[in-house]
Amino acid sequence: MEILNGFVDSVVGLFNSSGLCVLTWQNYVMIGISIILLYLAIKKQYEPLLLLPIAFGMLLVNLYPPIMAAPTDSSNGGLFYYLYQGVKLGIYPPLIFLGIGAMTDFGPLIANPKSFILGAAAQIGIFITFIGAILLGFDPKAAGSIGIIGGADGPTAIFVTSILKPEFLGPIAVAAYSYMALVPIIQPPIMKALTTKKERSVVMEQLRPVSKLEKIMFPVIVVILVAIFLPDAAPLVGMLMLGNLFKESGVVDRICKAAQNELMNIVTIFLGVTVGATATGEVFLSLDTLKIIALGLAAFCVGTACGVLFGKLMYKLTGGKVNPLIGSAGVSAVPMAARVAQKVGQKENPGNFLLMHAMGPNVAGVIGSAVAAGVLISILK
Amino acid sequence: MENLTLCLTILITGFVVVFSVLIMLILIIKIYGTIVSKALASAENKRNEKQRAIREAEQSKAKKTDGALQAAQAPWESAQPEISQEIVAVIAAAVDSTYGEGKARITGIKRSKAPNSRPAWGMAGVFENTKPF
Repeated sequence: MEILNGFVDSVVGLFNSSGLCVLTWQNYVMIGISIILLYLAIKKQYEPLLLLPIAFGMLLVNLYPPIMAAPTDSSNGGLFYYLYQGVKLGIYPPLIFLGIGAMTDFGPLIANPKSFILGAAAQIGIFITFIGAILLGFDPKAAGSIGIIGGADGPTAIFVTSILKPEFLGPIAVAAYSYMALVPIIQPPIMKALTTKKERSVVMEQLRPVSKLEKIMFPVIVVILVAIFLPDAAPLVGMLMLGNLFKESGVVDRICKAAQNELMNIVTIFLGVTVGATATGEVFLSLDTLKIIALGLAAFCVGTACGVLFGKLMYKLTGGKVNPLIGSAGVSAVPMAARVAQKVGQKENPGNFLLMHAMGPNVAGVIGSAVAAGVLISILK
Repeated sequence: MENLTLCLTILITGFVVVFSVLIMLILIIKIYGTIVSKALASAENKRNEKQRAIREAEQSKAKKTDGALQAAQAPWESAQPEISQEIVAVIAAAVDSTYGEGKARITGIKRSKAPNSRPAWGMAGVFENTKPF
């Protein structure tokens, strides 16, 4: 009899601690959303390198919430709690930037420095969305975190949000990466609506070759300038430029490869999984999330539109030598946004190759969004 | 009212700072791009002139000594008799590739007595792996 009671107690205990009793309806909805995101990552290949770990982190935390629990007197805390410290302390985004820097060729930007203007113009969406978020009732720190989605730069969005409004990290990261993945769908209608067929058909002059010395000097000059004038952007821009110096110097090949591959991959896994793990049902399923998603889309569209409009301005000022489509690449999203500019341009003129021209504003957008992040942090923190 | 002030502050500051930093970068890149291009162009000119001078000197020397044949045979003649013609050709090509075409002249080839028994490729591997430390 005692054995039977023990057995029943054990089964009841197991049932009470199982997901069937512990999980709320919000958790089940989030499990459904995470499965949809897994489908998009695997089947549709929407930014799978990030979307897959984010979706799986989301799935796991909603199945087993204690995995994100902080340590207490009686427990050591969950695995993701410790991995999440890299996000919370702002460590992972600069490390991702190190890898991006090691993979980026700033040659097109050095060859045509005017591209910086387009990279700056596309950041206007960030500040316009900030105003929109304030009008929708968000506090200034939350508004800054939402506005930065318009930079179309996942690590920058996470970096800013982890400093200004950590509790919005889940929805903002998911919105930022979703819109980055949807660049080929969101941008072309805006690009076409704001340009004429003649403007889209402009064939740009070939870029001048850039010497190795110029490429080596570039990261050093950028980091000195940005760190002096905008110290809050120094962690992001500094690591981006360090990675680029690894690449361009040509003397630390092994370190460069490690930054491009092993380090980047490891940090991507930790970042993706833990950011996904912040999207618990209670946090994610709220009116605020819907507002964030809507504002993020607005930020992205305004950024694209401002880039194209500045491209049109440059088209006029240069007497038709600049194709305004490359302005849309000013929203970071490297290299997807540049590829979209190339694709839309080639539709009008199959012999037109805008990719290298669009890469200039595209990488300028990375620097521009980091500078915008520095502005938001320095004012709002 | 407070929010409106903050919104305008952020909008104007963001606009001005982002554009100013990036415009400063444009100017700096333009300036150093011009300087570097000019420096590289002048270095290239000097190198071309030097190469032209070397070529002219070689041509005049070759004319004097009926040198085309002699120049081709020089490395071969300077090598030790046990070193084959193929090895001489490989060494001559490596020297040419390292120092630049026509910039070095082989005056003698002799087999070195290695101080240890580690083969040359092994030494190169050890050197490559320990260089960073």
